[in-house]
Formats: sequence, C-alpha cells, structure tokens
Amino acid sequence: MKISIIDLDVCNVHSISKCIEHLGLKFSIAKNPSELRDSEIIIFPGIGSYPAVMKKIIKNNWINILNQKIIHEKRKYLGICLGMQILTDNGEEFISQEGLGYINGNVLNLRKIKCEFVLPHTGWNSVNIKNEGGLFKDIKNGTHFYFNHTFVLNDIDEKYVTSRTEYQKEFISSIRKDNIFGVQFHPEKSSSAGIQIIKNFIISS
Amino acid sequence: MLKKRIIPKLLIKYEKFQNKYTPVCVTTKNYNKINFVGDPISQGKIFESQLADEIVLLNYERISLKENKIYFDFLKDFSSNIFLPLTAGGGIKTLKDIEMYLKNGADKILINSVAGVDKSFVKKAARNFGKQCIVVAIDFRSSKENEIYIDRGKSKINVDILSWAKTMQEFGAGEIILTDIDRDGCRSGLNIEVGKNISENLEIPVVLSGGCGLAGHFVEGFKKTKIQGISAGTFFSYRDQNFFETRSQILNNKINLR
Repeated sequence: MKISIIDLDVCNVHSISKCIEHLGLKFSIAKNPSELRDSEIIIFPGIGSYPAVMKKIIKNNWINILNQKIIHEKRKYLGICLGMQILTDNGEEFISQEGLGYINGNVLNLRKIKCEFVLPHTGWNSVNIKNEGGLFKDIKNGTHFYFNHTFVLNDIDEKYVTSRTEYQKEFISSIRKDNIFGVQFHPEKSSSAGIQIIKNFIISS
Repeated sequence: MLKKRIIPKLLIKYEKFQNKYTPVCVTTKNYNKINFVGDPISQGKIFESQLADEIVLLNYERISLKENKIYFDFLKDFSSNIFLPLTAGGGIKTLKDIEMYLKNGADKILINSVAGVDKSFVKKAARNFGKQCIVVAIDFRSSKENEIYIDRGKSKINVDILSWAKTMQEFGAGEIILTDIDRDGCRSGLNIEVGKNISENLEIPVVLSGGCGLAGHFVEGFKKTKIQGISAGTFFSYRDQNFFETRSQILNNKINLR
C-alpha cells in the first residue's frame, strides 16, 4: 500500500507525515507529478489560497496524473482544507479560479453566506456527523476538530455531504464521493480524534 | 459552536550542555529577566494531554535564521511529537523564512518586527501562504499610553494601537496577538481595556496575552472582551498551575471551551 503526500511547498506536510508515521505506516512525499505514478493512496494537506495552489497544480502538470489516479484508477484521495476545496469547479480568493471539477460545486467566503463572526474561522469546533462510518468510524457525533479557514464549500450535492459544522451559519465540514474524501478541518492538528480520522481513511474506509 | 482558545506560549533559548546547544524553554518578565523553565517537548506533551488548544512557539535567540539549524531541527522535533496547531515565529524577515517555518512543522507563523519595518511584507506573506497562516504580534506598553514596540520591546513605532491593528488586518493578517509588555510575566491580570478595544473593532480573531496569574484572569478576559483566545507563558510554566483546574474554573464560569 503506497501512501503519497502531495507537497507543493506552500504548506506544512510535516504534521500529516508524522500522523501517518504515528500509525506505524510508511509514506512518501511527492514533490513532482511523476512521484505519484505507483501511489495507491493520495493525501493533499493543502493550505494557502485557492488560485495560488491551483495555478501551481496547472503549471507543474499535476492535472494528468491526478485525473489518472483519482478518476480512472479510483485511488483513494483525502483532501484536507484547500486539498478538499480544489476538488470543486471553481473558487475565489483575491480572484476567481477554476478547480479540478471532480465534485460539482464551488467555494465561497464565509461572509458570502452571511456569517458575521470574525474570520478566519480559527480554532476548535464541533462536527455534526451525518454519515457514521467512513472517516468517522469510532468518532462520536459532536467531536471537536481544529479549523483554520475563511472559505467553505457551496452548492454541493447533499448526497456527498458527510458532516456539517456551525459558525453562525452552517457549512459543510466533510464530503465523500466514492473514493474521494475531503475534510475542511485539520485532522493532523486535532490530537487523538484527528489521528483516528487518518487511520479510518487509510485503513477502514 | 467555535470554542474559545487557551494557548500556552513557549519561549525557546539555547543552553550549552556538554558542549552542545540544547533548546530550553524560558519565561520573561517585561520582555527582560529571563528564567529557565525546562524541556519544551515534555512541556508540550503535557499541554497536549491537558487539552491546550494551540501552542505558540517563539524562537528567542537572536541568530540569523539561515544559520539557525538548531531551532528548525527543534521545531521539527516538537511538531513530530505534538499534534496540536502550532504558531511559530521569531526573526522572520523573508518569505523564504516563512517557508522554512512551515516546512518544519509550523501551521501559522508569527511576525512582528518585519511588519513594523515594512508593512507590505504582511500583504506579500498573506498572498503567498493565505491569510489564515499569518499572525501578527502587536507588543505595546500600557505604562506609555499603549505605544507599540518592535524588536522585542526595544524600538518604538509611532502609530496608534487600534489603527495599527486595523492596518494589519487590512494588509492580510489572519489573527492578532496582543501583548502588554508591562504586564508580561507579572501575573497581575490581562489588559482588558486594550483587549476589548481591539477585539470589538476588528473582524479577525484577536488573542490577548501578558499578565495571567490566576484562572480568574482568563475568565475576566473572556467575559469582558470579544477576544478569541488567551495566551500565557509564565502562568503555564510553573508547576503550581494545573491546566485542568484552570480549564474547569473557566468552564464553570460558562465560557465555552472544548
């Protein structure tokens, strides 16, 4: 089982690596598309801005290998935060940007869904689990995870939504479409419950 | 519902031990008078197990980051052992420095002096790494009408604290950490007035620090202001302070913690 973590030099891949190591599993860091060639499980712990990261993905030719792995070979993919958001058709942060389009929908600033609280939404918030099992196997409804973001998924087909979280307004905190998983929170920063999510993703889901 | 955050702050200096420099945790009083406390990693593990919400890790050695391998090795080691959000900083001057911090396990980076010298740096950093990654530390002295200082309290910049905080917000800071240098390490209570003024006038999260000596100071801070978190160094660094007791006292006052 080859686990790869995509590293675009914009974020902390170290924490997720350590999380996997903590589970006693091996992984490799993919800094170039060719390094995904024999991957069976792909994790993208993206932070940063949607346009900046998508531009890097396009410029460095990641699209073909991602299509091949995720869409054709149906390899398991976990997108964390921005790694989930780029799965949609389009997003905006400073400017509008086309995404990978694996899941129909878009990404909006929380202000646009009328959230008036301070932003970014930073800290520990509870997750209301819609679909038990999957990533949330052995995790209690209402468990707290660490969030740090300003943008949220929007216009996603209800059947792909696996949890929601409230920050004045309700937003989607995780999704699943077949082999594709996404979480808005940071499991790699959420202590023991977070490690459980990673374990569920790799081993049982 | 989003919970309020309690954030232990660890200042890191090096101590020569058997001819090798080892990172150790220190506390300060009024940004002076350094006291050695102990091993940062075991301290961090205790914080994680006692449900700290985040950790601030400040590099206190004034060594150019390029040559500061000890600190980055330490940061990597720390983040390998503790699965909590880490805000790290100290000496950041370039985007490359930020990259080094992130690569070695920081989730958010803390900038202070560089913003005072060139505020457009905040904008560049936010564009490159996202707002949520950029935390600006604002240090002020309440004894001097809340004047703002950079360079660890050594140089003054002439700007009003609220307008500075607003400028930092406008330039892309994702969070502000306010520290009253005159209360640092004094355990006499937080600067509620400044915390209230800044947190009520910004649209980004504000964290208040400097002066916690009792659990009641945390309660007061959360009750009287709109701050999102409280950070404390001295308070958590000595054994007579139990994190659990502090948490339950805050919870008993109906403040939402995790």
